[in-house]
Amino acid sequence: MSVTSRALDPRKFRDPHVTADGQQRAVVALTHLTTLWFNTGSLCNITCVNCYMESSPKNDALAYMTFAEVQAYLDEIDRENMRVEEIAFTGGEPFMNPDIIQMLEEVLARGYKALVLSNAMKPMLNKRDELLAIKERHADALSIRVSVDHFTRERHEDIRGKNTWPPMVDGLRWLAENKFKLAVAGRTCWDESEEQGRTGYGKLFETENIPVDPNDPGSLVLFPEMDADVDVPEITTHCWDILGVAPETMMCASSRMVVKRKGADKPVVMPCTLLPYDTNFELGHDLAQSDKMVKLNHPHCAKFCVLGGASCSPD
Amino acid sequence: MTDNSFYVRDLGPLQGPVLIFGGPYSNLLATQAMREAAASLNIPGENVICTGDVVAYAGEPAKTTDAIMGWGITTVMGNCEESFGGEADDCGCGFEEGTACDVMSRQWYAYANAELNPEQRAWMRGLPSQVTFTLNSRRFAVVHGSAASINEFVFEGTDNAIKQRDLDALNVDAIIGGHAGVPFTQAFGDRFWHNAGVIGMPANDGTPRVWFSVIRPSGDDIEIEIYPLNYDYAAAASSMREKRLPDGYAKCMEDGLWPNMDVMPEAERAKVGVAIAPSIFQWRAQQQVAAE
Repeated sequence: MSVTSRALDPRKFRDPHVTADGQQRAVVALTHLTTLWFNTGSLCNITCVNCYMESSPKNDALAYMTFAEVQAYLDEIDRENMRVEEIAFTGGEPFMNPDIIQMLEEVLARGYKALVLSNAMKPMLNKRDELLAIKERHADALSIRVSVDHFTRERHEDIRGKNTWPPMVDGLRWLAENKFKLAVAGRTCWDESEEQGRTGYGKLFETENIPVDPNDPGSLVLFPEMDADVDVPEITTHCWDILGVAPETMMCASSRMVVKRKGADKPVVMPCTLLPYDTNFELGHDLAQSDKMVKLNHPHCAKFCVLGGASCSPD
Repeated sequence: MTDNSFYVRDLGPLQGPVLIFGGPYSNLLATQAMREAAASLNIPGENVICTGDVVAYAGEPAKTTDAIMGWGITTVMGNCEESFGGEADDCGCGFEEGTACDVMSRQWYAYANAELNPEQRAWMRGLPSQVTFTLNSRRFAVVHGSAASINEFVFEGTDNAIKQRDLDALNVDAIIGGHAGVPFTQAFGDRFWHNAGVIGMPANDGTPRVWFSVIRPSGDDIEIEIYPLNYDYAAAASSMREKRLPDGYAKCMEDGLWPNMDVMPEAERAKVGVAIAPSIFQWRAQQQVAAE
């Protein structure tokens, strides 16, 4: 990492209602549940540097979600007539979950769009036949977003480990050749401008014949780094206006994520994909209970969601 | 109870969160969105209170009244219900003669007055002027304008002496008002004044969102949450234009800016066009204990 950062001030992000300097903490209300995420489990086939999920071949803090558990949430959506549009799966590596294909089939059969975040490596390629069958039946209702941490092998492998590049490129090519709806997620932990990043990814996509528009922020998603130990400003109710950011555009205004903790009887609903472990943010076991305001009391809320790298300070 | 008499309806102790909204203002689509949001928040009708002015500027006075009457919630009488219920000549907002509000109110008032049926007017006449309840042992009074007057505008920038006067007069821990149209929560030591905003028109903050609140017990504390409500404002505005109602209010639904600020204190005028943020005001139990 090239940026030298101060450590997080320990007085910050303590009181859920009030910031360290006594101001009213910003909150976000659920405007409309558009995307429901399932964390399929925290196990992953690789261990990346600074993975915000801390996923690895050993981390099973979040258990594999089962088909029956996913089905129960889909039933609740139907029963309550919620206008959910998309069901998304993240992990860990979702294709390691033994029920993933059945879950995708069910979601798509019920008419939702489905999104899977994957590293496109062996666990995904092991499901080639099943994925082709789904593609045949549901065409572009299924999207797959592949993690490519940098557009060069060297930097990608700095993060994701030695020899992780060739299998990822194989997976990406296979998805492209078979005309899956594709997106790519990258990281921004290098001294590069967004423009340099997008240009670099653009060249990679051209060389590998990957049909992703590098200039579309929805197709090539570039994420800021999330280090919860680095100092960030707290977000108050005044920040929205200062920053020109609307609370309705935050992930927790339109999404929720279901996780299942190891040893727990049943899954629990979290406000977003970024806070899978912090039990202070648990919103209850069903979606009806999860329609609550979210207090932006975590460094990720500030750095990742509200600021996205910007500064809130008016001076 | 006799018509037009001042009467207080006591709901007694309420359990669970209480949803408050003001001013449906004949805006049927916003009222329907409000009911959906209450269902989504799992708040049943017996825990929902409307602070009045069911009928006003927008295009569906009769249908909006039916929607509120059929919902099974508690409604406080607003000056509009007082006027329509009593078949008065104007809305009773108390606008000064010749002001923009005064001129426009004559147009929407005549339209709504022609739409309402006797059953709806009788329902309006029967509404309480004040509603009281307790939540987590704290006593709340809900009024339309102020405790002193149904059409008194109480904004955050209104002289605090008026709010304290009412808190003393009603001897409650909190007063919830309506009428003014902008949400806020303001503490006075261990007591507070709260306005949930209105759902029928935006809050003059430059966005088309409208506002409501949820008063939620949280352990021994109480949290007052101010929520935005999104609804199909474009359809509501076009319904007004089809009915040739004053365009100033239809435009307000779209751009979030009031056609005039005759009734607004200076402090609120300074915040016009500044987008309001959802918020949670925490009323801690020790504040209550310290006061006892």
